[in-house]
Amino acid sequence: MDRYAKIERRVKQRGCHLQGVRIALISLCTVLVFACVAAFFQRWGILPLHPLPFLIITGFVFFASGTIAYLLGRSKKIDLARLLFRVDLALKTDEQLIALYEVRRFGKRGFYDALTRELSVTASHASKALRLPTIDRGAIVVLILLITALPPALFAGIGLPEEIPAPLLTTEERYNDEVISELPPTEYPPSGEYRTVAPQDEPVREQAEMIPHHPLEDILAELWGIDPLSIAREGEGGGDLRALLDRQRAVNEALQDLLAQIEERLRDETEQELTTAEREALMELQRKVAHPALQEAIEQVLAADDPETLQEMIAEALQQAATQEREDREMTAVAEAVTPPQLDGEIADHHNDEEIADEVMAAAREDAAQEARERTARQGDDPGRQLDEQLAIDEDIRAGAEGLPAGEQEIREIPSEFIHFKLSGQFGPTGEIEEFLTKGVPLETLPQIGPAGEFRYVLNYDLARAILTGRLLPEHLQQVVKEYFRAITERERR
Amino acid sequence: MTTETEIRDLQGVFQRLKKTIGTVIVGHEEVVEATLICLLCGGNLLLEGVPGLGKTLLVRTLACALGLKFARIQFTPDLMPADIIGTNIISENSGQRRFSFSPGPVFANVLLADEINRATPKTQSALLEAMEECTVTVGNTTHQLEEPFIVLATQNPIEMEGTYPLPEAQLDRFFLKAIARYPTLDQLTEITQRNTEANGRQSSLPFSRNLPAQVINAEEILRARQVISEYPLADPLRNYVSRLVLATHPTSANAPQQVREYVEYGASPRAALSLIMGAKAHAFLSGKFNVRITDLEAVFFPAMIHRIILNFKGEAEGIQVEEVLTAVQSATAKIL
Repeated sequence: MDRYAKIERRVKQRGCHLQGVRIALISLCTVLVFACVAAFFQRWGILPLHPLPFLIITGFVFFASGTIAYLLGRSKKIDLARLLFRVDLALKTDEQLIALYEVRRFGKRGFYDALTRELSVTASHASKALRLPTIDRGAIVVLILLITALPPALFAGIGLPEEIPAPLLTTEERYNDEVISELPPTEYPPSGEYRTVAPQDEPVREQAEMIPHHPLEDILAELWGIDPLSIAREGEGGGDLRALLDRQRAVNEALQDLLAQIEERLRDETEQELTTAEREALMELQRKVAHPALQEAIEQVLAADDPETLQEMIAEALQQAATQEREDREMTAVAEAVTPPQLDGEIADHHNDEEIADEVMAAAREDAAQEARERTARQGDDPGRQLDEQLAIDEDIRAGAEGLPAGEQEIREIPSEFIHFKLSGQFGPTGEIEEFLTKGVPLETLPQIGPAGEFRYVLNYDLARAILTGRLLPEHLQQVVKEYFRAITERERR
Repeated sequence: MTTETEIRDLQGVFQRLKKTIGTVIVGHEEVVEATLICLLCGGNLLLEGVPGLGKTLLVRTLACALGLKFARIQFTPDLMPADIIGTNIISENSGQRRFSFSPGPVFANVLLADEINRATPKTQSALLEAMEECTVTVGNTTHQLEEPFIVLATQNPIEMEGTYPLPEAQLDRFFLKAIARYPTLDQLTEITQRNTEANGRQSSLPFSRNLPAQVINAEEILRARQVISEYPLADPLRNYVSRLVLATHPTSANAPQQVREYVEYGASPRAALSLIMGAKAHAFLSGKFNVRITDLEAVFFPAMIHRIILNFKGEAEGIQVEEVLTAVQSATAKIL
């Protein structure tokens, strides 16, 4: 093999390699464009895929397409004359290589010998002279930068409450940035204000009337038989679901006791009608009961004239109450099961607050006792007056420890087992939405501090889905639940 | 098949010829080279220059060095075609009168058409067939001219009064156009020294000089032509030439701004042929065995300059064709 043949072979190999690289580069750029689009979709939750699997899949596609494109590019036919001409231009060889290629092709021996003798280029020089064009090298740099930037861009939003992707969510709706704000516990308005002021507030009521029918009403009606209207009528403005269920269970038990007593009386006595006291008690309980079915059963009891019908209605109401109680117990169990650990921590914080309050109270008592002793020492002995003063001091201390005037502690007291959430906006025509956000609602484990200093909780949709699945909730009802959460988040965003 | 030795021998012969011409002609290397290229390619040369620059001397020297039959026609307004190509005359032989063809000066190997633009277009056109096909047709008879045949025409760029500029069709038939420029100081000194001293001068006429002896014969010229036609030209270079020629057209997508603005007509395909063959001949004369880009660049201007027709705006603004060609060369990439 003469010198030119060696050069030609090396240039051909190099050309094939560069062609492979070039086509692989085009392929990788194309894949990268698609990957960026997919990452955009993934980032905004349109593509339901976790960043890690997304990266793995993208990496695999990258590698596979690059390899295949390189191999295809290598096997593609190359324009050797053009490559040799490029080498000639790069090495300034007076176009000897391209001329040799030409004379070799046409078998012009005299020219070939003469040109080979004058050839000053080596095979390695010729091979090295072939380089990727500047635009391709630029494309490689851009490609590397984009590939480097892609994983951080994908993982950037994770852990931030404002933009949490919903990678494992099976629905195509975007829930990842839905955040629920909560006022700090110390800034809660008294719960009684919710009961009395908010529903009567005219602007709020007008706003509430403008809000259309909310899916939660369907959820509660379809899942648990709870009528939100009846809950609002019942008057509890700021509790969580478990508290509601507890209250309903208490009402239910009272109802069952009453019905059992009436039934027993009807069996023993000749009087086959409801007494006025019984009727009033039943009406009171009907008002408190939130389940429409149970309400209807009580209504039928109240409306029954015939003794036999009355007994049947009572038996039916009892059965309905028992059924409802069983369902409420199940609900409570689920709510407890899904309570996030950090909410327990939140309760612990409440406990810590209580401990601090106790310490403050003890210190205040100590100070007051000291003051009383001093006063006694100054004023002499008047046991009656000392006792009155001591009682007054104790009352002030207790009230002061709660931060309220004495006598209002009952209203201000927030049950420690509940986590209260303050949401902006209204739910339905009946009252504030916070009624339905309770300790049982699946929230993210870490509350975040918002820009205004308020606590922000993030709904955990995976947990929500697990709960709904655990309850064997039909798919269309799961969708209703999701719609609810999305709706309240959108409202809050507005 | 042409061997390396044969190529080298022929290159050597033409180097000697070049040197011989150089002993008579001072300077004018470009013109001499263009003349030799035309000789090697079988083309015709248009020499342009003011009087007194040695154009006629160059042609005469070349003819002497080649040992070929030389003829000179001084073109004038009253020159007729028959004065160039010849005519049928009545001759009487043994009491019989018959027409016989009397060949004109075109029947030579080296024809000097001096001041060709002074003759009328009709007379100028008499050379067209000879220049292109090396034949002359008189009456119904076509006469073949002897090979090698080369027309070296001169024209004076000044004194345009009473002249007939060559039509485009005839200009295009000139393989190259060479411009004889004024000699430099040293060259002029050398010219005066050579032509005003006795130094063994044989002629008694003033300013006459000794013409060289024959260096090359017709066979060698024809053989060299064959070798040159075998010179390798790769496809990328051929593509480059095509793009260069197309870029001279104002309607071409690759034409530079100057071409679009100032050019009426661009170069013809014959220009591309001239460029390639001229580059081959240039490489041969340079002692190389392949056509290089430098060869193409060397003959680009002589091959193109008379084939670009400027428009009115170009003429009015005094644009030189060289400027346009420089722009074309700059705008055309060597490789795509």
